[in-house]
Amino acid sequence: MSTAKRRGPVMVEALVLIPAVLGTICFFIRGPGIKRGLLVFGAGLHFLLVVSVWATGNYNVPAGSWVGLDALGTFFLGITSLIFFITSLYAAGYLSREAKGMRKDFTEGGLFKNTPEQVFVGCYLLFLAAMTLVTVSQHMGLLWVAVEATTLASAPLIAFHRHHRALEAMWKYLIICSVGIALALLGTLSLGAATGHLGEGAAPLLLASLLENAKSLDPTWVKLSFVLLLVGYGTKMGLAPFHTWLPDAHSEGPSAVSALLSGALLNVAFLGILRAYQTLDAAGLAVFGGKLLIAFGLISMAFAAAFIVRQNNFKRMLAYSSIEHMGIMAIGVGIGSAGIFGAGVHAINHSLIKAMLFLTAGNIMAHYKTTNAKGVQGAIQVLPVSGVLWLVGFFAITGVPPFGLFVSEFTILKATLDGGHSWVAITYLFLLVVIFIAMAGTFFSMAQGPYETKPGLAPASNPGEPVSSTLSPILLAVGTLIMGLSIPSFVKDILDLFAKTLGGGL
Amino acid sequence: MIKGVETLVVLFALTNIYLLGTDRLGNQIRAILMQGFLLFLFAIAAHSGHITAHVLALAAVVLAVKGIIIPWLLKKTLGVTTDTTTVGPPRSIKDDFAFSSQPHVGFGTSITLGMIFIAGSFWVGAKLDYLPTFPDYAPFAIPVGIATILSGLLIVVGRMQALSQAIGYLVIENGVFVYGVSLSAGIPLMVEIGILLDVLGSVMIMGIALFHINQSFARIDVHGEEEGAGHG
Repeated sequence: MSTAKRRGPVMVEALVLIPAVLGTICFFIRGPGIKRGLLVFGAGLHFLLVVSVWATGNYNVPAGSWVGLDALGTFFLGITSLIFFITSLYAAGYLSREAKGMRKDFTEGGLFKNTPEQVFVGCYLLFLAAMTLVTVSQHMGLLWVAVEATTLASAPLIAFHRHHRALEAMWKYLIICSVGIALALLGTLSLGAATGHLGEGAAPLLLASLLENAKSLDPTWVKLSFVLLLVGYGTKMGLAPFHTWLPDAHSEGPSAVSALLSGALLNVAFLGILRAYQTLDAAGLAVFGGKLLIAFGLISMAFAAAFIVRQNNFKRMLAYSSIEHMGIMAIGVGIGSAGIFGAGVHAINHSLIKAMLFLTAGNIMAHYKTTNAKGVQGAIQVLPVSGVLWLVGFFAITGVPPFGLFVSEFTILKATLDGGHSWVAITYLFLLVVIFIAMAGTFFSMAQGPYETKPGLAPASNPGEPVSSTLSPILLAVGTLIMGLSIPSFVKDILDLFAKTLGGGL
Repeated sequence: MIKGVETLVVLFALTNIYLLGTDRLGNQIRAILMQGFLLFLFAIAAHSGHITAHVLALAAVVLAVKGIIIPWLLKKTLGVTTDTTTVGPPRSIKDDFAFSSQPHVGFGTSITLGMIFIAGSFWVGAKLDYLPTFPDYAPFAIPVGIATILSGLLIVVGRMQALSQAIGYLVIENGVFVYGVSLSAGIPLMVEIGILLDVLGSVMIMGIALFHINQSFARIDVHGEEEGAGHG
């Protein structure tokens, strides 16, 4: 018993400290091989530890502790760790292929150079540490500190290529997310105000204490705090209309970073909103929060659809698609009951597919030297693996069976109809169809067609693709296929707990 | 002593008006420095009845971070960025993003809006439901906190200078602080310090970013590569 009690906090500390320490070490290492080795080692170790937590299935947080692994946090930690591990394999290969020194910017022709590799790898690992801290936070104040830390660790990653577009994207990301998160701090403080009467020793912002005393909190201040937290963390999650940083950051960052932002960071920001929602639900105000989540979800889908239509930059298209899927997750939770389970399934599948698509987009960009979809033709011919993955990714991201997103989108649709929200269901379906049609054109014209050798591009008979660039997307694609065919039982277990924690379930 | 707290809050509101009305980056940094010192005094005065180690530690960190380090970092960033921008050919539209003094919103309009923010916040504040746990000065500090946050937002969206946007962000953070101190709910010291360190980290990274943005623009100028304002 005592060992079981002790293991919890030690495990939590290890999960945060391993990437934090390794990341800090990387800032001081000159040899490129060692840094990349440490990156993959740290990511792998982190993933193994997370798997061992999932294997125990024990999600009890010690009373009064600021950190701990409950079902909700462990769920998102699992996704984060998996995506990070697979992306780190890709990143290691990517770094070894990057040219050194000053080079030409293929979009505008200026010269630029990369951020030093030790800064990149260091921040990459610190980013994992910060995201892990968000998932294990049991205190709303600590949660805020951790979310802001994810912004700080990831900003330098976006400007890995130091040309002015990347630097502007990083600036936009820093300012918009910092301002957004300042509003989340206001929300956190207001939540503290709602608990003011609990007295000195009550540790008012501790999640367990909030849930326990939810009924006696002042409802006006709880509602106010939820709105502020939704806007604040929603900025980070990419809910429209606070999403404006997202397309720039995703399209200018290296693909391994875009994959991590979409696959891990956005979910982690969603966790911030879900923590606020937990309190709201316990206070009996879930309907109020649900309406807001549905509204912002639909607005996000509509914004995404409007910008995906006629989008020529294929990385921006993927970024807008992330906004769409964050909207779908918000709708799922907002609908409640089975919708919450659907939102959980959606979070896993979206992370797998979007990370896969960004990595594949990186391979396509590396070959064609452009982000303009019009400049890419015949990808299947010249990049046999990435070209096929690109098409597979299209079907997976638009929710075609047998891929995982079909399951979650269908579950959410069914929950919407069962809950009597027919207008929500109609709008949701309409937007999904618009996005399907808009994306189909871009994806197919890129994959198919004759390949023309242009000056500066490799001929069609180039010697295959390196395993380091195709292994990660293949793993991710297989993952989402498995999730679509049948959800494995260990995933199903935590999904049930996830839905139950938020007051829903199948 | 309540009187003292209220005087500090009013002075704080005045620094916002000053910030909204000045286009000189040096003056804006001076205003941030003033706000830092006022927050330090406020952190002590707000707890004048019961000065504990917690209060003193927090006040010391506020003084160090908001009163000394951040203004110094801003000043240093200003020095680095203007040194290089004075060299080179005339600036293009692109460069205005970082260093132009042209605001989207004029200074007269900004000051008027700032006044409206204060009046409006007090009007809304009068209608707020103050819980019995709130301190006596809350009806004063909460509206000023909200007005400060709104002024900060106006600076972030209304100014094109990147450094001004960073200053706007700091004003928002300061507003949150005024608002937060007036809610008596005790946030643990560690979390408060964590919050301050995050803000410090943001400013440092923003400073580094500005340095690189500046370098990157200089390089584009040298190579004559320019494009229209097509970002966003």
